[in-house]
Amino acid sequence: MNEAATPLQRLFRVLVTVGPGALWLFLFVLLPTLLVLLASFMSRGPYGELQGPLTLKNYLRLLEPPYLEAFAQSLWVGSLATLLSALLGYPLAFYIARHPRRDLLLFLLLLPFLTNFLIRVYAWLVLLQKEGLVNAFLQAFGLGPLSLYPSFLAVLLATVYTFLPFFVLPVYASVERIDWQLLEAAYDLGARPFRAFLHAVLPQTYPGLFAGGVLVFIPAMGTFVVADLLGAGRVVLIGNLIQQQFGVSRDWAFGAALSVFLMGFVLLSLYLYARLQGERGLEDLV
Amino acid sequence: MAGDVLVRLSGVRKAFGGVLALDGVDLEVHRGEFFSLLGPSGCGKTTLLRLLAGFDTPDAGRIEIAGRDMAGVPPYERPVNTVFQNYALFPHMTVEANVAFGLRMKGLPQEAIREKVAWALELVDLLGLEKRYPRELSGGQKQRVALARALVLEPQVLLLDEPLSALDARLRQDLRVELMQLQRRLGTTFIFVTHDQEEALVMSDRIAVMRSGRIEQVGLPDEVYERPKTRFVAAFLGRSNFLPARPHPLGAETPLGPLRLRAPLAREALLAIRPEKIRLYPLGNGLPARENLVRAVVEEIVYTGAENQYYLRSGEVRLLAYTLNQDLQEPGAEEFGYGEEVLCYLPPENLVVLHE
Amino acid sequence: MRRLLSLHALLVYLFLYLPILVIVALSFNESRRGVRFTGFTLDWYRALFQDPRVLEYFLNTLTVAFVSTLVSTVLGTLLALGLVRYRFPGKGFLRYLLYVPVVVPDVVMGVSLLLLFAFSRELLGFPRLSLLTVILGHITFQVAFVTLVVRSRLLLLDPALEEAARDLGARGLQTFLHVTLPLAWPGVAAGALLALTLSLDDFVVTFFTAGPGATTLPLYIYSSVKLGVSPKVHALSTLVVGLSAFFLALGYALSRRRV
Repeated sequence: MNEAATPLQRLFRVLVTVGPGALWLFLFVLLPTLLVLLASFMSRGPYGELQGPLTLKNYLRLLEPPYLEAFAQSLWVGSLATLLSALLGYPLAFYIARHPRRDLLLFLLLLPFLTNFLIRVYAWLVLLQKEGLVNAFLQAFGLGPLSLYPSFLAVLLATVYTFLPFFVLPVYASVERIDWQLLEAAYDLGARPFRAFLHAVLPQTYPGLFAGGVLVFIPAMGTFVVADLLGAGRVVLIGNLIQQQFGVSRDWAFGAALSVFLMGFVLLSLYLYARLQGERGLEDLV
Repeated sequence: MAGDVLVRLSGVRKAFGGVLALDGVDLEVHRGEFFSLLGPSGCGKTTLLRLLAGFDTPDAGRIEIAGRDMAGVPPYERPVNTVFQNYALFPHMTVEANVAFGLRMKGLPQEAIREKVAWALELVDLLGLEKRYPRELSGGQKQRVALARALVLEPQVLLLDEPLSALDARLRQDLRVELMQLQRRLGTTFIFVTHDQEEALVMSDRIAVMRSGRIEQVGLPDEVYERPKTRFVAAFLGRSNFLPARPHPLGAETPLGPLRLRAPLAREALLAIRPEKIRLYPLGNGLPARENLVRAVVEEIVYTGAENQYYLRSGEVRLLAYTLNQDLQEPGAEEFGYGEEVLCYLPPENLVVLHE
Repeated sequence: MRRLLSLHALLVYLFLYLPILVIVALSFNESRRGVRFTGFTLDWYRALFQDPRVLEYFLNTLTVAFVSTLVSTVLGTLLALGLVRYRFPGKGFLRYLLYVPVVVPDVVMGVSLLLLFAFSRELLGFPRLSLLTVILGHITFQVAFVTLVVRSRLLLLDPALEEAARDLGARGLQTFLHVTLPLAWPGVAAGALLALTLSLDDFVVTFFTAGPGATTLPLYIYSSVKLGVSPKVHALSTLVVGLSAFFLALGYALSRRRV
C-alpha cells in the first residue's frame, strides 16, 4: 500500500513484519553458510578441531581419486534416479490428471510420502535383505537368493521410491494446464498420434519435467541416509563423505570444503535450470 | 442541483515508476452532484479515484474534501467511501457482516449497527439475503451489497470505480437507473469512474473527460457531446466526422469545398460533425439550402435496427451519416442504395470548431 | 493406450505401497527374521510400549515439532506479509536467502548449523547441543517453507479487499485481524501443517544438531536400523504410518468438505 505514511511508520511496519524472520535467516542461514565457507579454508587440529592458518589444501584434496569417485557416484545415482523417476512418474502424472478421481489418486501418491523418511528407506532394507520378500519371491522360482542388500541397486531403488512424488507433482501441475486443443489441432493438421504427442503435448509439459528433474536430482545426489542404510559402505556419495568428516573422521575443515563443493554444484544446477526456465522457474519450483 | 464545492483538486500529479498517471489535474466537484470521470483505460481516472480514497498519495498538488486538506489523512479517516470495480466484498463474511463492517470499525453499539444495516439493505433492496455469503450472490446482488456497505457509513462522497463494468448489458441498464434514483434520493455526491461514454452521458450531472493524465473537458453531458472542445473528446464520446479547415470568407475552406459556419474561422482548425447531424437527400429533389451541400456516394450501409449508418465518400473524403428508421415501413427498403449518389447537408450550427 | 497407462499406474502404486505393507505385516509376525508369517503376535508392540526410552523419544519429537512449528509459523507468516506488502532495501537478497534452506541438501544444512553452534560455543559459551539446538535447526528450514506457502496465498488475495477495509474505517491492526489474517488463514494453516510434517519427518538436521538427551524418534529408528532389522522398529513404523495416514485422511476429508 502506498497510502500516506511517515517514513518512521513505514520503517516500523517493515521491522515488525520482516524483522524477526530476516534476523532469523541472517543468524541461521547466512551466518552458518559463511562459517562453512570460512571453515573450508581452515585446517584440522590435533583433536579434530578447526584451526588456522587459512589454506587451500582442503580443496586440493577434493581432487584425489576416492573423492572424485564419490562425486561421480553421486552424479550417477542422481541421474539414474531422475531418469527412473521420469519413466515411472511421467505417465503416472497423465493418468492421474485425466482420472475422474484425481484428488484421491494424488492423496494416495502422497500418503506413503508423508510417512517418515527413514521408515521409507528402512522398508527397502526389509524387502531386499537376504531373508526378505524379494528373495523369497525369487526363490519360489528357483532363483537366488541374490545379495540385493547392501548394494547400489538398493540405494537406487530406495532413492527413486523416496523422491518419486517430487517428480510427479510438478509434471501433474503441467499436465493439468495442458491445452488439449493443440493436440486436436495437430491431429487436424494430419499428425499421427506419436508425432502429435511429440509436438503438441510434450513441449507443454517441459516446465513440469524440468522442475521434477531438478527436484529429484538435487536431493538424490545430496542425501546420505539412503546410501548409508542401504549401501552400508559400498555406496559412498558426497553426503556420506561429509557426514564422515563430521563424525568418525573428525575433519571438519575438509567436511566444510566438501559441503561448499556440494552447495556450489547444487547452485550451478539451479542456475542452469533458471536459465532454461526463465525468471519464473525458481518460484514455480517451490 | 449544483451546490458548493465539496471536492477540490489543484495541480495534482502522480507518477508510477516514472510513468505519469496524473499530470496536473485541477477539478471541482459540487455537493450533491453525480459527477463522472470518463476516459479510456490508462487515462488516470482510476488513479484519481484512488487519490481521493487515500489509497495512494499525490506526488504534488492539493486535494480538499469538504474544505479539509487530505494530505496525510489515511483512508480510514476520510469522509469518502468506495464501491470497488470487482466489489471487493469480504468473502469470509456474510452480506450482513460486510455491510456492518464499517460500523463495527467505528465502534457503534450493536443495536445501532443492526438498524443501520437493515436500512442500508432495504435501500438497495436486499432484505432477506443477510445470511448469504458473497459467493452465493449474483453479480447484481454483489453490486448492491458493495453499494450498501459503502452507503451505510453515510459518506460525503461516494466513489464508484467502474461499478457496472463486470455486469452483463441488460443488468447494467437496470442498475444505471437504480443508481441514479439512489443518488437523487440520498443527495450524496457521487464520483463515478467509467470508460463507457453512454453510461456517463445517461447518468451524470457533469462529466470530466480525461486523457493521458489530464482533464480534456468538463461540462454538462449535452455540452460535452454537442460542443466538444478537442478532437479527442469529439472522437471518444460518440462518433464524429473530422474535416481540416482554413479560413474562408464564407466560413471555412475544407476538402469538401467552402462551408458556412456559425462564425468564420480566424485560423486553421479542425471541424467536427456528428453522423446524426448530417442530413441526406436524393439528388435533384427540392433542396433545403444552397450552401453546405456535398455530393457523396454510398459505399456501405449498416443496418442497426433503430438507424441506418451510411458510409459515404465524397472525392477523397469519407463521411459517416446516420438516418433514423422512423419512416421506413418495408424491411429491406433503405432510403438509399449501394453506389447511389446522395446529397449531404452539413448544418452550419452543427459544425463544431476544434482548436488543438 | 489407456489400458497401458492404467497398468503402469497400478504398478507404480504397488511399488509405492508394497514396502510399507510388508513392514506393517511383519510388525504382527511372531518370527523375528524373514518374511514367513509364523503367527500373529502383539509382542513387538508390547516391547515397544514397555521401553521407557521410546516414550521419552516420542515426547522429545513432539516437543521439538510443536515448539518449532509455532515459532516458524509466526515468523514465516509475518515475513511473508512484509515481503508481499512492503518495499525495503535488501528485499531481493532476503528472497534469495529464503530459498537457501529449500534447495540446499539437508546434509549441508545440518553441517552448517553444527558449525554455527560450535563457533558460538567457542566464542559465547553456548548453546550446548540439546533439544534447543534441534528446535533452532528445525525452525530454520520451517521458516522458509511457511513463508513461501503463506506468500503464495497472500499473492492470490485481491489487494482491493484490504483497501476496502481501510476505506470502511479499519486501521492497520484491525485490517490485519479482520480481513488479511482470516483470508490468509488457509495458507497459514497449510504452512503450519507442512512445518509440522517436516519437523516430525526430519532426520538429517536433527542428526547434526542433537546433543545427549535430545534423541528423537527418527534418531532412534536410525540407530536401531544401523544395528539391523528389528521387529520393534516394524511396530514403531506401523504406528507412525498409521498415525500419518489417519491425520492425512482427516485433512483430506476436511478439505473435501469445504468444496
